[in-house]
Amino acid sequence: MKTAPFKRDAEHQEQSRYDHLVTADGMVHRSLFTDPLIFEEEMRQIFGGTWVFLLHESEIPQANDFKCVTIGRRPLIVARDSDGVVRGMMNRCTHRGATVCQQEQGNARRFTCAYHGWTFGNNGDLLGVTFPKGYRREFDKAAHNLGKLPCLESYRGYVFGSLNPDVESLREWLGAASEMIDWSVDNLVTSKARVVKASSMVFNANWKLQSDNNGDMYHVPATHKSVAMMTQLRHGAGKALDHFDGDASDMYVKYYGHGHKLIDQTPAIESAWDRARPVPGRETYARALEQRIGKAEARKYLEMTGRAGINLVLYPNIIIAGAGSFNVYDPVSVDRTIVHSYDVVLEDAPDEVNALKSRFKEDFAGFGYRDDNEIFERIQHALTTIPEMEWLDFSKGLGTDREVFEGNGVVRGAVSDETGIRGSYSYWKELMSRDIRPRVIQ
Amino acid sequence: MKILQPVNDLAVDYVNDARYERLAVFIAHMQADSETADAIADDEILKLLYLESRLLDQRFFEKWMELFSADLIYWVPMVWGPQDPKFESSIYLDDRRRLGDRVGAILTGALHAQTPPSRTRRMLSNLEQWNVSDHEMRVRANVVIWEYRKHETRSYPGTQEYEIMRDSGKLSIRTKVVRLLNSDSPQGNYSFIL
Repeated sequence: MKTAPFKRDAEHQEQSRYDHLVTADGMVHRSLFTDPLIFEEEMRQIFGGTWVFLLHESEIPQANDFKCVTIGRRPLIVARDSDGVVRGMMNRCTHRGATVCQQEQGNARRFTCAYHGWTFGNNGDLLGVTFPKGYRREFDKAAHNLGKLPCLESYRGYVFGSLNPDVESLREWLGAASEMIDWSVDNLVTSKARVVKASSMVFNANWKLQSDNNGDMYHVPATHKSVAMMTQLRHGAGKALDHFDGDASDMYVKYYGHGHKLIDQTPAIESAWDRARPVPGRETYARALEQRIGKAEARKYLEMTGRAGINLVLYPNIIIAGAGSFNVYDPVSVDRTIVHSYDVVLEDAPDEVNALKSRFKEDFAGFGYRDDNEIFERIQHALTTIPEMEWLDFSKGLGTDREVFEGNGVVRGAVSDETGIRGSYSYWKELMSRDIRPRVIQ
Repeated sequence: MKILQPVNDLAVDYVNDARYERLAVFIAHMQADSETADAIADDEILKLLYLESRLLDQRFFEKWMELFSADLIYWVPMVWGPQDPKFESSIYLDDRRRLGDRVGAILTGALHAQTPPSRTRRMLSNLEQWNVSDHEMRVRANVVIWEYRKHETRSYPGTQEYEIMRDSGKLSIRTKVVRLLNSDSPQGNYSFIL
């Protein structure tokens, strides 16, 4: 099938100043990973220019609940006010700049800055200042409200915010990727899922290495060799990631447009439960569950305690992995990234299910992520120190009949190809080239 | 004991509600602030804990695992403060089988996160011992795990809490909790076995 280069919409047909850094041949320049100035621009153009995942609605379920997150490093309070309205507010006093909230999560009607006692409501309004006299003009409280995100929307419980008042609607931006969010949420067996923190990690490498890796199946046998060998020797075949065998199965990768990419492993995963590496309590809790609700019902729940097999990487900062699980990337600097991992407690499921889910969420974090992070740091080191070797090669699948254009900007590739990753870089180029004005509203 | 072999005959059924409840009782005692210890850890216990630390530092992993009882829980909590280990994820919450997996991954020689391998030294101090009975002891110690890898040295301070059983005169570790000061902070490469 004839392939075509990624199309830009009409207003971006002119040459982007990043064309020389992300080429039509699938090559990406090292400076995207090493240049602190490009990193600063990304914090504005990408993390200030499009939708950024903030949190899940179930993390702030009650009126006056709040959670502190980041949006491209910026500390943000996401709060549900007493009327249930959710807003994103910069954690920054409008007086002289101190952060006003020091708690990661909680329930509060007000935030008081410790410096001079200015007090803000959880809708961002400045409620009162100490000693208000002495200003040349009448003190305008509204002009000193906390800076809020101009846009905040949610889809199926996933809350996104944007600093760009002209951003397209969330629905439009998610586009065809929303089908996999739907699949992930609708397959949860129960409808009462509460998001919980599972773990956090940090590595000294650029955030895009994590995003690229989450859209990469090719690396599995080499990077995760130790887990494969150990699991095979101790637990036999058919577990962990040994369902990847080059392009032998019907697994595939996909680029959805707007930076979103997917690995769909489900064609090679008949049963997430059967393939799950054995966690502490596997046999005991499975048996107890079967005794409680019967084998058929139990199996539906047990399937929620293993690897669902989708990597839905929404641009720029979240991977949704199915069965309620997701990871969020927090860029810290050009060569340092934090990743937070979340799972769900299924509130109306039997206890045995959640006792297994908690243990499974720990598994790949301990056995898999560390190898990925080690690789990222090796990359960061070599890219930073060798300016004479400029390019990273993401061309696998490009211009071959493995690359299938499905229409509406959606491109499918063979599972070991770099199709999805290339798509993300085309969007990176688009966002970096736009003339946008991120701002807060008061 | 060979780690990289089929684990078919390993007892795994001990991970159940009763085992989690036992863990809860143990950690409630260890986290109670004002209890005075029965003793500074005596020689017999010190020998065991120093041996356990040394074997781990020396990377004699298979010998190290022989010090643990058949119903081991090896727990590195994430949450700082009151915990519910059954439902909350941890940095590690391992039974014998999964701790063996962790060790096994290192022993394959293919674990990139341990290529090159870490060098570690565990420093134990402030050892307090409680004697629940003549065959069950609880020990709490401050710990700093020093780790050197790829030109950098890192420290992991915290507390280690042990449930030690005596059976037919032989001591074994039934529970080990490694409570890092920064447990709820983003973690780096802990694949050297915390």
